[in-house]
Amino acid sequence: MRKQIGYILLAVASLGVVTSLPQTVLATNNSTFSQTINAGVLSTDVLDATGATVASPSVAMSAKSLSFVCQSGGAASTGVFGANAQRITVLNPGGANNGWTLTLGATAGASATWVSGGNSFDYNDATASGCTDGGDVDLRPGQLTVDPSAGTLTADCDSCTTANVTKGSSTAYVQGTADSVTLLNASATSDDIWKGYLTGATLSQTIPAETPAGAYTMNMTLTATAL
Amino acid sequence: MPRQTTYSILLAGIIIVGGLLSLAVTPVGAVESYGIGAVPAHPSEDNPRTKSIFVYEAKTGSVTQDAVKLINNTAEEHIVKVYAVDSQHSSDGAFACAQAVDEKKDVGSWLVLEQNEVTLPPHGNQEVSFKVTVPPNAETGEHNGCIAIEDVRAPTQQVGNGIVLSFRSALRVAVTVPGKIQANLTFTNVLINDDSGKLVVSPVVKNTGNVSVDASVRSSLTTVFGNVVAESKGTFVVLNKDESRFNFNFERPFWGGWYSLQTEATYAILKEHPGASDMKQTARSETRSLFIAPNPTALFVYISSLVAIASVTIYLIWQRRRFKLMHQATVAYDIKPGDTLQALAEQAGINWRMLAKLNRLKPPYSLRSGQTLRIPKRRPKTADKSSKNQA
Repeated sequence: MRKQIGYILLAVASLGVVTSLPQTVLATNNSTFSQTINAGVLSTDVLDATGATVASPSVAMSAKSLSFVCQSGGAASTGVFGANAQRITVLNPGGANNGWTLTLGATAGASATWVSGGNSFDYNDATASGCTDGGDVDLRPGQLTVDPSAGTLTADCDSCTTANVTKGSSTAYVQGTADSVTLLNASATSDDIWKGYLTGATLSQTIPAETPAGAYTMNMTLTATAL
Repeated sequence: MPRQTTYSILLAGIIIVGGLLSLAVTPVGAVESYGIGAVPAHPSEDNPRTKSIFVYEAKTGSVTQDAVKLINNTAEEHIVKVYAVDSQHSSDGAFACAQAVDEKKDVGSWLVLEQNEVTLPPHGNQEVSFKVTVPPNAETGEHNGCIAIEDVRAPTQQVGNGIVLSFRSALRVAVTVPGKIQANLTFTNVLINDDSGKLVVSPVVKNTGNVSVDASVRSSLTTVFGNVVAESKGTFVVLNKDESRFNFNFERPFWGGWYSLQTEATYAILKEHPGASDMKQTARSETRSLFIAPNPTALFVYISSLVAIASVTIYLIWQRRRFKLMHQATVAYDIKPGDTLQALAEQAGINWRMLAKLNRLKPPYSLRSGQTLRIPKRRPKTADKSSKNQA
């Protein structure tokens, strides 16, 4: 009986040895292994702390009360672009070797507005820092400022670093002049295979005086561009 | 069948099945890739840049045909929109792509794709052909646009107020119309932000030429002795007729102090441009002097050292002054047999070392008869006390 148990143990041990050996493909001469491995492509997404795609990424702005004066500067509505649970992530598995940029622009372009039902106000009116309506077609002012430099850039792969990837400067949208804000700018000397994320960039939106109450939203597009 | 043989067969069977199982569950050379994007379908062997973006030299009126390979590196099927747009100058002079709704005036209007919506299977890819037609009135020089790829997914529902996000990736399309090609970089500013504990140096460079360049920009901090204490650099695309700003984060020098900031940009017209030469040019900014506040620990060391130096100086001055006063108030005394330095010092009411120092005596401080010493006069109070004691 002991001998039998010994044989069984030997068999189990052999199985363990085989499974722990470095992987080798045991194939006969006429076997064909076929698989397609796509090229890595530059892409961007919002991932949570576990690395999973966030299904409905959005950026909440602080609520403000209806005011008879323009709410700007320290009184503006603020938000955090890239909370820890919504990391602005760039994935470049070798698709952009000459550098890349990550930029943020309004999906509807320069004429976009914050909308709540039938009400709206602007995000790129520079007149009086967004407190006075300029010469554009919309009727209510407002200006959104994005400050990527206030955020933290983190490399998220074993062999890449944040070297040669710079955060953009604090920028306010200005119609026709600053329609896009640079969040990240990776130089050609940055790591060719890179994954990382930006957290903690700040947003500040001037709320025009007497803006009707409502939950205002605006669509924005995050673009990763190979250069 | 003998029992031993049976066990051997059983053993062999287990080993074989185990081995096969281990092959089945382990992926062979699996590569983890992410996202949805695109690459040029037919990159040129001569230009490695074309593996990432589209680069063309095209005369006015010419038509160039090419294709973009759309790639789905996810495990789900995706329907993607693919469209051409003009390029846009983003903040800091970076390259960006205009939005799909923006009016197309440049390469975005020259480029026509065969398809604008494609269904990509999981881990699949598909080529989409396109034509670039350069209009007869196109200006000489570089024109930029983008091919953008955007996943068509249900729009995000934003609860409350805020920004609803969409995502896309894009490839630059650079079309150079041949003619007189030139690039000229000049520094227009070097901004220094030393607030909030961070030192950010932002060189601003302008390209007045008609083609973009890859500029190797380097900023360095040097001490008054010329040694570099911090450096930051990178190679960036500087678009034609544009101003670019690069934000370099510097390690703040621990000891602080005055430093010189030098910035230079080395560039050459990209070789894919017609008429380009390999000759590199360098633009330099004016040298800036700046004071950097020391690290709090360094500041503590500085203050401690200053206090220590001041204390020692004050002590030395005090000692010197005391010595001088003592020297002035001395009388000559001829040494008699039996006199000791200790006894004479006690009589004078001072330390024997001070007496030795006053007379520049060296160890072992022996006195000889007939030798003259300068001995401080006893203070009247001390003298009174002494006479009282004697009485």
